[in-house]
Amino acid sequence: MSTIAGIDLGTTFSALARLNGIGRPEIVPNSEGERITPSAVYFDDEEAGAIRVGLEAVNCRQLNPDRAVRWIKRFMGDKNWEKSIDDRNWTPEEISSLILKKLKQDGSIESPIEDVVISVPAHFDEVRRKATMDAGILAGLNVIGIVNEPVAAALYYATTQQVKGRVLVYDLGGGTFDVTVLDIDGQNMKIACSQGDHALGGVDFDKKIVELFEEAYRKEYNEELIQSDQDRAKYEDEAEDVKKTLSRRNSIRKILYGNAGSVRAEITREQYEGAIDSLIARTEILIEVALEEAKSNVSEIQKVLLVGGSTRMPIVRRRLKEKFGFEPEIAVNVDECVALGAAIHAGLTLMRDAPEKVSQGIVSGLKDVQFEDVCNHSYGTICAPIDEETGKHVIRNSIILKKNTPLPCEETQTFYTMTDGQSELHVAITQGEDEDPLYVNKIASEVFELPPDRPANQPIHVRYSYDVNQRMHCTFLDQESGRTLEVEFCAEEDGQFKKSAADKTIQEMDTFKVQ
Amino acid sequence: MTIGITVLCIALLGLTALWFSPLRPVLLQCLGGMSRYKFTCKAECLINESQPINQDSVFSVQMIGRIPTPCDNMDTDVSVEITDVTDGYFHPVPVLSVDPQYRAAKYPGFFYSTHNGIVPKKNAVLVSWMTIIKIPCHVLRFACRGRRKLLFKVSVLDRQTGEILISDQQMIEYIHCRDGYKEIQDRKLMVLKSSVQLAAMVGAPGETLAEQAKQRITEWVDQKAQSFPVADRLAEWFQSVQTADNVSSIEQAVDRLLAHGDQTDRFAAIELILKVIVEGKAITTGQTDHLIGISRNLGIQQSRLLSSCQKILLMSDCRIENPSFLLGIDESMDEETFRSRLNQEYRKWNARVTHPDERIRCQADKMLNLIADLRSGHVGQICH
Repeated sequence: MSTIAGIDLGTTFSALARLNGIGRPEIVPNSEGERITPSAVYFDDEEAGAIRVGLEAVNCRQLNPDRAVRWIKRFMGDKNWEKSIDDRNWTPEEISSLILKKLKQDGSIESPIEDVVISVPAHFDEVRRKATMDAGILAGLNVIGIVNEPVAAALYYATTQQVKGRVLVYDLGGGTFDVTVLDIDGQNMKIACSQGDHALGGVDFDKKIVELFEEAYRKEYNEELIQSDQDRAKYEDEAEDVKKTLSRRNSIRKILYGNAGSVRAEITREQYEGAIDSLIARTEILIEVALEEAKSNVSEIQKVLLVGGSTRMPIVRRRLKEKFGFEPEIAVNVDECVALGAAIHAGLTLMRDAPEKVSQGIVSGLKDVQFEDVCNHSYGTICAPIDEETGKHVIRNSIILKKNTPLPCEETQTFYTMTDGQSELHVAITQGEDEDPLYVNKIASEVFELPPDRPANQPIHVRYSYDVNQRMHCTFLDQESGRTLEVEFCAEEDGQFKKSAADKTIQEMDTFKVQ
Repeated sequence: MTIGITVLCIALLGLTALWFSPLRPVLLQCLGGMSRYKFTCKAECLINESQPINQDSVFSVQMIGRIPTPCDNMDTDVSVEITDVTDGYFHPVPVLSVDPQYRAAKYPGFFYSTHNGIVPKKNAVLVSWMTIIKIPCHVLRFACRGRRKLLFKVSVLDRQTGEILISDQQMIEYIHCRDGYKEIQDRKLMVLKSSVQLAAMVGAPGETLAEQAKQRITEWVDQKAQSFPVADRLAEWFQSVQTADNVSSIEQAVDRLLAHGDQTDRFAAIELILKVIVEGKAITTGQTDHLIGISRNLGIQQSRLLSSCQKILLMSDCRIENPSFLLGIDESMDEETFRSRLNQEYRKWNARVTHPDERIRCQADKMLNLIADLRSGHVGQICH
């Protein structure tokens, strides 16, 4: 039997957990003995070909920020992002694969890690999910599934605590923020809705501290504190320390060294909380939006579960207490619960898809766990209905599968051809909530050949389905002729590596050694 | 007496010579013209009984008489043209067709031509009325509403050379109960002028319009001229447009848009205003107030206005003095409505923040920051 594992590929830290013989998840420490590994990569310029991942990469970054990468998760799936090192351009998936490789390498000392589930923020779109899977494949892992981070945390929480009722998972991590509302009854979980903010996390709080540093220095010398990338890297790392200290103490003193001289700056917790007030406001809005979508109100929430390192900030806990009227739950380790839940998810996935790979002990441990997930995004197609106000045709995105529909789900809508003799239909599959096609993401497009010489208004039935593995399938059916068009989601146009090039890239990535 | 006989003989001799000369067809035509077989056309307005529900009228165009041809068995075409001569024969205006089968090439004026068949003899005579075409009146567009004098011209042509063999014309009166295209054009022109005037007045209240703003209006006019040729008349007029920030002028322009434009025209006017105001350094609170007021008076839904504002203003580099208007927030809102409005906008922009287009991602970031600032009470200005 292979080792079943779950990976939390975080913005600032990553972790790996494996299922033990009785189906309980355990964190696997890295080669430095740490339970979480910084998601940082450094390409050593002194030792040719050496790629450092983790704490060492963070430490080296200040010396040469040009050869370091942090917070790569924020760029996952971004076809325009590249890091050029020694004449090689690294994509976000390749950089992430180096982090995963380090986790795999360190976790395979006892027995090799093979089948894994990687966690992603709930709001990650298809492109980013696919990019995350690609990163896993490049790292030589067999990625059997993707799980939403708050779902993974809740899965771990539900299997380790006695909980019953409606729970809100507040996941404020290093780079992203997710809110999930779910119903838990023992080991049964039903997700009601997930909402996320792509650009809100510890990194943004750190930036506010850097701004406070800069402000203090400007006030003293009327000159800029940060003059180079090295300076920025240094103060970003210091800001992270200051943030952590301010979670424990009311103030911190720091000496800032700039070109004009040094300044002794004191940052109080009050000052810091004032600076991050608008970011906290964003988290509060997201909670309200999630509750609206879950058709729930504050009084119906029985527990608030904290996940992610940034929830250690006192302001977060204080504001949540003010909002819900009770202390949020810190029953699980906020840095580890996602990886632990991802390992449970991996066990459940294998029990469903390849039971022969799962040991009897794990089956006994997980047999009572059940959970129902939801569709993470809305999916639709582009059509041209008549605008009620102007009476003219307008191009619109028509949503077919709505966000937060319980999985598995299937929906069909009927559209009609527009002109006489229309012999083809340009179909587009969209992901997004907007009616305006400008603002939605076209994730696939095809041409549907139709029989010629027919009058307009021929019905075309469009069926979308979404399976438990979070994959979407689309079918277009021409009613009159019975012709069908199956459209598979393909992220190649969005910058993901093509299947033909995949093997070559995997082989190449295999040659890079991480330390 | 002798003189009379001599003249008669000379005349007979002359006619005989003419008969055997190349001028014989002209002579025949003259003689034919005098005969009862003269080539004649007839146009009548009839109720189309085959379409009683539509109650559409048709113009039935017929012809009769001699068709002179230079030789036997000549292949011919027949054409029909209609001109509006209500203002006199020397001031004809075209009658247009909306149906391409009643047009010549790209010109929208009415023209019909069809194969007439082979004329067997040089002076064959069409002895009974032959219907050339029945034109549905609804496909025709006349210059103006009311009583029109229409001149129908029927010509028979040599199919090979296109040379006219014979033609005739007839004028009939027709009462056109709908607006004519000149009236529609004048109205459209008025709508476009009002849009430009509003854009100029809101874009540069009491000042001279900036060059970029002028350029934006010129581009808009040029674009309109592509689908509406008369719009190029606007260009000259636009040079003298007033930019005075005059409430009554704004109201008048809005009234004209309401009276003569449709909803699409009103949206277009709002979009033009937005395109012009973003050319300034900053969008003042006065300008946004004008915009909201104009939009309200034009009956445009707030959601539509917001959508256009967000789309156009966020793409630009100009500073917005009162950014909360971009979210549909106003001071009169109570706490609950304010929060609910912010949440609604947050939901929308948060879904756009991962869009593949960097410009849209950037807009979404700006809007999310603005929403968070408003929520935490730190209202700022949107600038780049």
